[in-house]
Amino acid sequence: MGAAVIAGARSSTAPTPELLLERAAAGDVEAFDVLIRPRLDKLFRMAIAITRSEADARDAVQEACVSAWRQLPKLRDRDRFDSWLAQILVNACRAHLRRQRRTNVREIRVGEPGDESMSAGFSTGGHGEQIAEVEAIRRAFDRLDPDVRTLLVLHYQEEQPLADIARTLGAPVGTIKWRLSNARKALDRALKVERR
Amino acid sequence: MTMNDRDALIKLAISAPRTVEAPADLGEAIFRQIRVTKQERGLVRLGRLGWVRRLTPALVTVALLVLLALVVIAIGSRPPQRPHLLSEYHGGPDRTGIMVGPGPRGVPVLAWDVTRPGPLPFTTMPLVQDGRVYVADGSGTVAALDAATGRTLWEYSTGSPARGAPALLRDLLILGTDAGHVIALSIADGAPAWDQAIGSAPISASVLEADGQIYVGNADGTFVALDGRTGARLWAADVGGSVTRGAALADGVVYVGATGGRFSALDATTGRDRWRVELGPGEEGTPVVGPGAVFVGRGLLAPDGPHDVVALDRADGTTRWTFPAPSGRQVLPGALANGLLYGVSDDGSIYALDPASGVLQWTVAAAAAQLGTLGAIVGNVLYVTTADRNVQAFDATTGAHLWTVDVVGVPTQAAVVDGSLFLGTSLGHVYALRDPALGSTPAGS
Repeated sequence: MGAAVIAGARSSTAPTPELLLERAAAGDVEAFDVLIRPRLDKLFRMAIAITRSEADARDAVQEACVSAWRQLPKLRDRDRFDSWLAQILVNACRAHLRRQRRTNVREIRVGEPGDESMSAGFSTGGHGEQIAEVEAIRRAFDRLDPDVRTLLVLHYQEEQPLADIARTLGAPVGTIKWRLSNARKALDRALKVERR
Repeated sequence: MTMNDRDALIKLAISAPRTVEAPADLGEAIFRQIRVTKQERGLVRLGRLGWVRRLTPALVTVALLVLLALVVIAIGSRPPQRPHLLSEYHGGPDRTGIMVGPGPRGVPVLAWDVTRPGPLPFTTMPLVQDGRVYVADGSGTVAALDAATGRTLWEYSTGSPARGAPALLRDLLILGTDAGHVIALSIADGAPAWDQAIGSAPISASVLEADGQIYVGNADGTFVALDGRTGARLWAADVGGSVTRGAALADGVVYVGATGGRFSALDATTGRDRWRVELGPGEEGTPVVGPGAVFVGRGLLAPDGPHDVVALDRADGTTRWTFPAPSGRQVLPGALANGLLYGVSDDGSIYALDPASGVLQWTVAAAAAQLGTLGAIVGNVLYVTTADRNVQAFDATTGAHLWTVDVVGVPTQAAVVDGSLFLGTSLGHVYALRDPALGSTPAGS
């Protein structure tokens, strides 16, 4: 990944991801740049799925990348860089949403009619009933608590195994299993409300 | 539609498609910021030893001082102090009942039993911190007791009965009184630090402390937030009825029930309603806050009210499910752990429910008379106090009975810390029940 970006094609002189991490941890901004840029789209997609807003996603990704840069020298297990980065991003998204809630006395759900920041670029890809169902699920998803949304995004969009989700969210696997089951039920309940 | 089809639809609905790309200028914006951001150092790699903290002169000095302190402690003749521990009413602001622990292994033995001048109602609980037990009783006397011996360290008379559990905020003990005042005392010597009148109506609910703020309501329906350091009033809200039980707080929202059935979710910063629902006649118990729902027992003291547990969606207060006990008697949720919501009922049974659906997982008869407060769980052990004048322990997964210890009077909720249980009773006793391996001292010492 990082090596391919540097050289355009792998060569024996291209730094390995391990070396890039080593250099970035030692304060090499260019090495960090090479590590992060290829990951930006994926990070942005994850953030937009959680926050449901392009502006919030942008802020969260920026916050997460700067935070990762600051903390990188303390990352002991460098093989875990990607899940560590995902964890930082999830925390940034949650913190962002929490701050937003504190600012607003009443919670404002993103994705309500007139909220143009919502779901830009989402495509359904299907016909008739399926499109309607996908739209209904999307609206139901917007009604969910941010923590529940995060969990569903990690499971469905990121396709992370339970053990990885547990690491990302800092909870035991059993708890994640339980929360995921609750999250699905919460989505079903929200879907019922949408269909009323 | 198969499960796979459904999962595929959910994935399609919630995922951002692969065509979505980060804004073109995001990378530049990030790296502009990174170029002026310092990294947090502190770890260096020492060959095969891996990553260790960088040894700065300051760190070396601190390490030497710590070493010196350890040597002094090791050669000192006094036994080591008990660990610094804190127990909170119903386990903490979210009232999930999870105590610091550890609980006693095996059947606990009596460590000490002292008598206070007034009763300790079941709506209160002794607080334990740094080797001291703090109790406030119905005579209005507040006391600090030595957790090891029960010896009184200081006493202070508020002049008015205290019925709810106090709260600890750093070096202050904060409680409400029948005279309608919230009073803060220094935990060092009981000296008053501040006194704030909420009104003339009594305060019988437990005090809630979170992030340095104090939340409490009184009998005329005024619910206030105070600055914990000074007692200054931050906001006040009318919650539509007497506040008789403690509130709960999670993620910046305070949940509080009022006599008459109103249950409110208030913004902890401003006191404004996030939402409110009407739950029918009677009082509501102390709420328990879960990941997506808040659980509350309703219809307390209302002969014709619905006596059930209600799960309310934290986002908007909609009812997710209700659970009425088969006996039709009132049920109070008191603990949320191990994937189960535990409630006690006036019919003398414990009910363990699936918090997502409200479906009963197991039930066990614990007492002939009604149960007291359930709000203590440590690991896989559930501690229940009963009006049969005892405290009992159950396996939290199966409901299997583990042990029973009798006490004099109807017990309060138990604080479970450091291998011990601390509880008061309606007859003014305060007990320390201890892990047998930790030893005991004669009762009343």
